[in-house]
Order: sequence, then structure tokens, then C-alpha cells
Amino acid sequence: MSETGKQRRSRIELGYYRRPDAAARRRGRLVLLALVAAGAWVAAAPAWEGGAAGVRLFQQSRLASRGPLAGPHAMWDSSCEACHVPLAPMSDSRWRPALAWSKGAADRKCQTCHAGPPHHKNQLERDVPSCAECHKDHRGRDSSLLAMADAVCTSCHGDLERHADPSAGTLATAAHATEFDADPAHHPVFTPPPSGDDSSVGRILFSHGRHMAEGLVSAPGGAAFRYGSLEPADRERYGWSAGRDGAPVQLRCDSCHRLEVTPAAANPELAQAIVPTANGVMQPVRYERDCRACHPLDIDPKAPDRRVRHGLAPSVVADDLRRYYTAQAVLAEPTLLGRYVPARPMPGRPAPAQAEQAGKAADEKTLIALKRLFGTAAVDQARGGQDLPLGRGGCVECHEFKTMSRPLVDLEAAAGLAMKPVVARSTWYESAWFNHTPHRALECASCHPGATEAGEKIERILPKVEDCTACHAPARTRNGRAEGGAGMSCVLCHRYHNGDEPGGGLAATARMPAVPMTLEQFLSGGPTQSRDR
Amino acid sequence: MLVFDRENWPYHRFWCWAVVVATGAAVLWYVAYGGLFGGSWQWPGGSSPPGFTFGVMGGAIIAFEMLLWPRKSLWRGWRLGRTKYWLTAHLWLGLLTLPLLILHGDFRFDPSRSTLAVVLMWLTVIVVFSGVLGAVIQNIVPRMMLDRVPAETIHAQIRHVLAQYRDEAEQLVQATSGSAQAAVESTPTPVETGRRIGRAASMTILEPATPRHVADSEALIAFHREHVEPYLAARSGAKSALASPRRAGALFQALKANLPDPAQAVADRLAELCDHRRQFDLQARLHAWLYTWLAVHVAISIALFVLMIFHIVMALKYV
Repeated sequence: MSETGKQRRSRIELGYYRRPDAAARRRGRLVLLALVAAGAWVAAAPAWEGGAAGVRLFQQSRLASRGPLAGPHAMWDSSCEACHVPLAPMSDSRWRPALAWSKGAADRKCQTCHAGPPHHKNQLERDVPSCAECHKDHRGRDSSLLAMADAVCTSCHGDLERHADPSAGTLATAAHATEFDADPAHHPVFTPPPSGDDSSVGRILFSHGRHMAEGLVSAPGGAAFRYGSLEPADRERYGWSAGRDGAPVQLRCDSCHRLEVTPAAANPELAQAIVPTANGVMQPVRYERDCRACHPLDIDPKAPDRRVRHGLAPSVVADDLRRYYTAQAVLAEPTLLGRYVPARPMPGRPAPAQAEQAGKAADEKTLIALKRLFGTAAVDQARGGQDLPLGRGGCVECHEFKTMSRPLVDLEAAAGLAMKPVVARSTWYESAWFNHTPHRALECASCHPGATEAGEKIERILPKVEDCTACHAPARTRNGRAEGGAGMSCVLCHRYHNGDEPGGGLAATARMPAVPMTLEQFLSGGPTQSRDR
Repeated sequence: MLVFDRENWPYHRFWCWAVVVATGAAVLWYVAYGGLFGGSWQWPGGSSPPGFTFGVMGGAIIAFEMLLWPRKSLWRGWRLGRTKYWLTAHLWLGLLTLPLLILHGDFRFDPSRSTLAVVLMWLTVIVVFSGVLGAVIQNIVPRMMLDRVPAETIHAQIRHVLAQYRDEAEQLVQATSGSAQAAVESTPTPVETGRRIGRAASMTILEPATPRHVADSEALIAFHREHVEPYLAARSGAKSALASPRRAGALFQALKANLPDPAQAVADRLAELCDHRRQFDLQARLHAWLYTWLAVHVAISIALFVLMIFHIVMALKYV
């Protein structure tokens, strides 16, 4: 009784295939649902702009954007055309040959806010990348716009002779830089700025070794400088504590070298608080703050409160002193003011003897004070009597004369005195950038090993490549100890723009945008995007 | 047609190697560009030269993949190559899109950044894996169908065939165990059950056991009313005692013990009809496995295609 295949086939309706079966109908409904869902998302995305966190995942900017913008650009997260020019590539460098009609369009957008001055005067036009080639955005709020591959730099610096215009001047940097390590073939040695060539620029006559010695003695067994010699207001800053007036002074690096700070004065409770600036550079050493306590510009042991202001020209100092001593004479003998004293001797009218004597006395005192400031052997004795380390004292203890027409034997000679100007540096390696703040936990001598030795030279004090590569190198283990691992990319220390003026920094005039914008223009991506244009 | 059998493998071998080589080359380019071989590693994004190339290739492949539907339904009579070759290319190129688009998408599956990019990535993964699952199912289920459903019929016609079975069972039982008048009325005559389409017509021939009344066979009617009729009529026969072959065998054994010899053949036919019903249930389950993946695959593919076009437009506008 079982059915044959023919019988089974005969049970099938002939036109069954003309009607969609259940599976096909289900499939059709699912396809429709998928189409509606996809279309609804695209269509409704603008309505979700600025919605709650959950809804924000579906908002319009998320449809086009490959990720949130970096913090500095966050306000344009939903305004694509604040930075993008429609159908023009952000990076021309990558889309070669660049589309003629859109070439540089995106870069011009960037430069509305960032001037982006040239790297160097001898760079070749063909090597200049688009802004977006180096500064990649859409990598998250906390991403860095400066983070880029070393290849961006080494593509030229690996063989700079092929990537520099020789007609624009000689190269001021190494011809080959491929990676950061202690091998000079890979990265040039650190070079401090040239010193001594320019005779018009002075230097501070200063010994780190002597200042770091206990009691600031010049030689073992020499007279020590003690806390009692400092004014009470200055003692604590240099490590004094109660009952230690007779103890020798022991300076530390941060007695004079301090990080650049920003006073938090807006909040009264934090009025005294200071925070390091983002740049993390050391403040230049300043006389008033760092030197005066030990090197006061005294002029007269009998007038300990009277001091010369730092930074004045010798002739100005001489005039000030002359006026001071003359005033002192008048205060001592007020009758001097009641007598006529001609400006120059007149025939038949000799100057009053008392006034002449007072004038001469003021001149003499002025000359003594000038000698105290500008140096004589007698002053050394005077300083020795004050329990100060032996030195020349006054201005010439630290500064050099620019001109000295003749010995300082009278007041006229003071007019010919001039000191060499001193450039107070906060940055020694001008082509690189260093942030002291993250390195604060280290002893200063870890990177500045020669600073405590006598007879040091600046070349010995400044760090070398080897001092950096202890940490800034690939992670490795040496003698069972982990080393390296800190970042070593080019942009950790170097900046690209305005390379011919490395000291200019971000605030350099060359980096200023051409046209300042109103707040409304700024928020809408520049003047061309503004509604009022 | 099984996708991978010994006969078809030669067609797949070329594609298999092509996909492996293309994936290897893509990964090599990607890691070389990212700086793995010297320099610091940076993930190449979707707009980097390799990322963009992979995106274009992936998009072109997806567009080709979508053409399988018109090829199979709209352009059936056109000379565009055999569907078998289209399916082979569809399979392997579809597989290739996964590595290409993952490299293009920068391995990003985290929705906290670009939702569209991440949705596209996940849709791609679902489409490819549903396709792979489909290919596996297409290799397994037809074999199972062949082995375990010898009474297989067209899935859409199962209910139609079951209705005929129900009628046949009713007529058999009435003819055998009903009144003599009922036996005469239930004499099977060829009945045209199909529709006439043009010159062709389908005829369903109901040819049961000889319609002869058998005395003392009332147990057959009771059994039919209690078990067979509900089982054949039910939308799902899973709850019936006859759904289990063992229990069904026992029940029919017991029935036959109470039937005279002339009615045994009718009981056997009823058992056969119930067995077919069981096979149809299994066929329906296997059919669901065989085609449910396709519904997901097609629907998600459509969504992927629509969103991909939007992604391309936006990416070119804000490139």
C-alpha cells in the first residue's frame, strides 16, 4: 500500500510556486524591517543631536565621524564643515595627485585658527605635508593632536641633504636623524648654544661647585657663610631652622632654580599656591629673588639699609650715590641750603668753604661706594670682615666690565664704566623642548651630573643624550633591572612649526591667525562659515 | 546541490587559495604601513592608503554580493554565467570582505567612538558569519533530509498533502469499519485535486486499500478518531502520542491485535500516513534550519548595504 514517487508528486499543486511560501514571506518582512530601521536611523539622526547619552550614540555626527574630536576641537564635534571642506580631502599629501580644485582647501580651514608657520626656510615645497597628515583628529577626547609616527619626521630628516634647499642657507641641524638613541649616527649629540664668541654678551661669573659646598667655602677650611649672616626674612628659604643661626648655609638646587609657575591668585584661599606651567621650564635666575640674600649691593657699612638697585648702569648708580650723599650732608647741616653756591667758580666769589667741603665729602663717599660696588682689594677686606667668603664683592663679583676707560680713581671715571649685558636663559637646548615637571622626582644631578663639581663648564652641566636614553629607550632588562620604556618619539622633544625661531613657542607672532574672529565666527568654524557673511 | 562535496571542491579550490593569498597580502601591507617592520607602530586608519583600498575593495565586493539576488530572481534567463559559479564567488568573496573591512575599520568594535562605523563592522560580521553558517547548514541538512525524510515533499505543500492524507484516512476507515452504505460511498474514484494550468493538469489519485467492509473492525474507527485524525489535522503534531515512532509502533501493534486479518492492511496504511506526518514535521524543522539563516543573512545584508552607501557618501564628502 505504500506510495510511489509518482503518487507523491501527484499530490502537489501545480501552481504552488506562484505563491510565496511562509519562509519567503518571513524573509520579505525582515528585509522590510531592516530597510526601515536603517532608513529611520539615517533620517532621525539630526533629531537626536544633543540628546541623552544613550541616544547620542545614534546622533548625526556619529554617522559621519570616525570618532570624537580631541579636547581642543570638542566644540565642533557636530559641525563637520567647521573643519572639512565638502569633497575636498583633509590631507592633500595622501591623495596624490591632489585634486586641483580642492588643493589646500582643508589646510586653509585649519589656518583660520592656526597660522602654522613654515618649518624651516630651507624646506622644499614638495616635502611640506598637509596639516591633517601630521595632526590626526577623531581619535577621542583625550588624544593628542601632536601624536604622530616618527616616520613623518624621518622621511626628510633621515636624509636631509635630499630634502633641503641648499640655496636657502646651510643646514643648522644634523643631516641624518633616524631614531633617538645614543648613537650619533642616529641622533645628533645635544649642542648647547655657542658661548664666548660674542664679546659684547657677558656671562655670569658663577661657580656651581662653590655654591653647592657646605658654607659656600671657596676652599676646604675656608670661612663658612652662616645662616646668621642672612637677613631673618631670607633664612628659612635657604634651609634654616630654629637654633641653627651658627650653622653653615647649605644650598640646594631649588634654592635658586625653580619651575615656572602660575600664581593661583583668583581664589583667596589659594593665593599663596603656585602651580607649574604646562611648559615645565625653569625660571631664569633673577638677582632680586635668588642672589640678593647672599649678595646684597651694600654701599656703606654705616648705612646697612641703603643698597643699590640691581640692573642700573654704573653712571646712573654714580649719580644716585652722589645725590644720596649730598642729601645726607644737607640733612646733617641744613644751613647749607641757605647759601648761594654757583654752578661753577666765579671770579671774586669763592665758594663757601663749608659747602665746598661738604661737596668734596659727598664725592669721596660716592667714590668709596662705587669702588665697593665695582671692585678694589680694599673691598675684599671689608667683605672678609663681615664673615663673607672672599670675593671681589659688589657688581663685579658676578658681572664683567664691558668698558673701563681708566681706573676708578675719581667720579669722572665712573662715567666710562659699562657692564656686559647678561642673557638670562631658561632654555639651553633651543631646538628641543623639555618639561621639568614630570621629571621632578629625580635628583637634579641625575641629568646634570657636573653641577656640583668645582670648575664646571656649562657643557658638563647640561644633560647629554645618554642621560635621556636611560629611560627614553625601548624597554629592556639590563643586569636584571628593567630599563627604558619611556616615550622616544620625535615629537616628545621637537616641534615642527616656526623651526627657525624655536624660542617663539606657541605664542609666537608667526603662529597668530591672520584675522581675529568674533566668538560667533569662531564657533562656526571661521569667517567664511559665519552667518553674518 | 551541496556546496562542498567532492564534485564541487575543484570549483572552490581556486577561490579558497585566492582568498587566503589576498588576505595575507592585505595583512602584510597593513602591518608594513603601520610601521611594524621598523619605526613606531600606528594603526592605519580607514583613510590611510591601505585602509582606503581595503574599504573600496570591500564595498565593491558587497555590491557584487548583492547582485546574487537579481541574478537568481530577475536575470534568470540571461547569459551571465551559471548560478553555481555566482554562488561560489559569492561565498568566497563574501568571506574575503571580513578581513578587508576589519582592516579598513581599524579593528574598532567600540561604539563609544563612531557609531555608524561600529554598526557597519558588526553588521559585516553578522552577515559573513550567517553566510558561513548557511554554507555549513547547506552541507549538512540536505544530507539529513535525504537520509531521514524519504517521504519528503515540497515544504509549502506539506499542509496540502496532509489534508489529502486526512481525507484518505477517513475514507479508508469509513470503508472498512463503517456501515455498508458508507463503504459504497467511500469507493475511491480518481479525484482531480490539482488546478488546470494551460494544458497541464494535476490529478490526485486516491487509491487506498480495497474498500471492503470488514466486520468486527470497529476498533479502527475509535483509533482513528482518538489518534490518527487529530495527529494528521494538528498544526503541530508534537504533542500527539503518534509523534514518537516507538509509541506509535506500540499503539498500532495494539490496534492490529484487535483487528481481523482483512483490516490489517488498513492499519498499516494508517501507520504509514502517520509516519509521513512525522517525517513532514522533521522536514519542517530541517527546513527552518535550512532557510532561517537566509532570512537573517538577507535582511542584515540589506541594512549593511544601505548604511554602507550612506557611509561612502559621508566619507567622500568629509574625506
